[in-house]
Amino acid sequence: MKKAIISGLFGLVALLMNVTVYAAGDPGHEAMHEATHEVVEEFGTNEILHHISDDFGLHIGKLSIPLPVILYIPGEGWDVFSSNALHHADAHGLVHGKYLYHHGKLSVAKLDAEGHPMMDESGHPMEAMTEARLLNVGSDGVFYNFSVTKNVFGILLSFLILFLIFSTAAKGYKRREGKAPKGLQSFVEPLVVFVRDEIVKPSIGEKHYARFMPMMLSIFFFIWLNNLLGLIPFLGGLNVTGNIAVTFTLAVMVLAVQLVHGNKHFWGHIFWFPGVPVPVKLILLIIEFIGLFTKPFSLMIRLFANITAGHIIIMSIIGITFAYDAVVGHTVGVVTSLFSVAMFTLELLVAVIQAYIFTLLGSLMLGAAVEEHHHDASHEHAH
Amino acid sequence: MDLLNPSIGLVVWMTISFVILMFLLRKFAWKPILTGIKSREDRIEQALASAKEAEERMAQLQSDNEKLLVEARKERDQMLKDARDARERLIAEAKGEAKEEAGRMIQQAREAIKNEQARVMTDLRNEVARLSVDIAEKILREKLEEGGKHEAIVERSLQEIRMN
Repeated sequence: MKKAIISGLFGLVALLMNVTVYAAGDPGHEAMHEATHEVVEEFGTNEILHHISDDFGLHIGKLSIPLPVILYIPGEGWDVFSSNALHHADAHGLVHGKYLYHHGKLSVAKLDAEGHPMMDESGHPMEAMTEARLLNVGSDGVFYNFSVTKNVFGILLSFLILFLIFSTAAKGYKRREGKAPKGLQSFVEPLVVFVRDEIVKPSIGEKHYARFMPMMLSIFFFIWLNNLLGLIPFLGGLNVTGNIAVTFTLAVMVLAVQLVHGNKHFWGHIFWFPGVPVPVKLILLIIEFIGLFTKPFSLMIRLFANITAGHIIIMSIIGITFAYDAVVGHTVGVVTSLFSVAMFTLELLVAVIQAYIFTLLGSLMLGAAVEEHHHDASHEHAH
Repeated sequence: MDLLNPSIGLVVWMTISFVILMFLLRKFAWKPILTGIKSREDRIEQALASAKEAEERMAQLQSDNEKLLVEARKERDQMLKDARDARERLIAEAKGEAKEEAGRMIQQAREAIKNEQARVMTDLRNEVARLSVDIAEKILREKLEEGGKHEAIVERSLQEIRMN
């Protein structure tokens, strides 16, 4: 299905380009259409999917950096090996005699008594176990993949960068106490003040905001930095914030903090809404309870979808550059290159906007949890 | 759809490393940065407040100065007026005294003149008496010498005295 969506998107952009060429009155456009379809497969769908998905090993240009593959197979235990091994499958398509690696997807092969992989009717090796994901966790036939993948590498890299930048900037406050900020400090300070004064303080309130500052600052800069890292070409195609596991974790953390800090007022509004008749209270209970989870869910989907969509569009436009370069010539390439420059500029903006929105909506969730009981009087009247 | 189904391994990695990062950043970055910013903001606010206070005090001082100046000017005017009054009074007093003195001196002079006059009169009277005696003597002597002429002499002498 995802392939269909991406080829559809890619095809749509390609079609638009075709129309332009058709309008120019090219007689050979029928043959070109065939050729375009081939390159769409080659440059487009597969490449894009590969880019936005997680991956074993890091590919910087033509350089392939191996990363550790760490697997936990229920009933067998841990298995650790280099991701380089995945590119050296044997004649049966097996890696290390028991894993299958196909199109970036690792699975445990179904072996017969002699240790050969069992094939299905169409001649493909059969899978015994697939990777555990949130929707099938704990079920039979899954193994757990704790590998340092491309995205784990991205997470660790961004953490290192964040720690270096902000701890260095923080030293300035001790070393030059009471003086005007300087260097990295003066780069960091307006951003921190922005998060404090424009996002966290107005959403949570003067009284409680300080408690949540470290978390919201970490989230803001983590998302922003990873959005930007994802835009750097040839840096291994990092797509951390465009990965649903990452946005899921961030959203769950915000939800967890919200639930832990929720006060009486907050829970009261969810389970027994004040000031309305009992039947309405029961309806609101259901709505508010669902609402408790839809907010972090939308946080998760919003960030994931925005970043992934941005990557797909940029990759599509770049793909079209190459596709048309092969089919038509260099002229279209010039135009689509300009498109990709425009998209990159837009994505730079999206990078900070998405970080801002996630932090703002997360802060509003926390703000709702710690909001003081200042509608007391009106509730009392309503009773 | 793997794209929409979070990988368990990545969730675990993300959770652990993000929690660690959050604590590390809180200790080594956010706390120093936020307290640094806060204390600087406080200091700036304090400095602004004290600047405003100083300005107010300055204005207060200036208005005090002006008030003092006005008072001083008023005092000076008062003093000048007092001095003028005193001068006038002194002059008037001096004039009065002088007049009195002059009156007294005139009085004394008058008395002296009167005394002198009285003395002169006395002297004159004495002189007259002596002259009378002299005359009488002369007459007596002539009577004695010529007999009869002395009556005319007395007559004439008396005439002269009366005329005086």
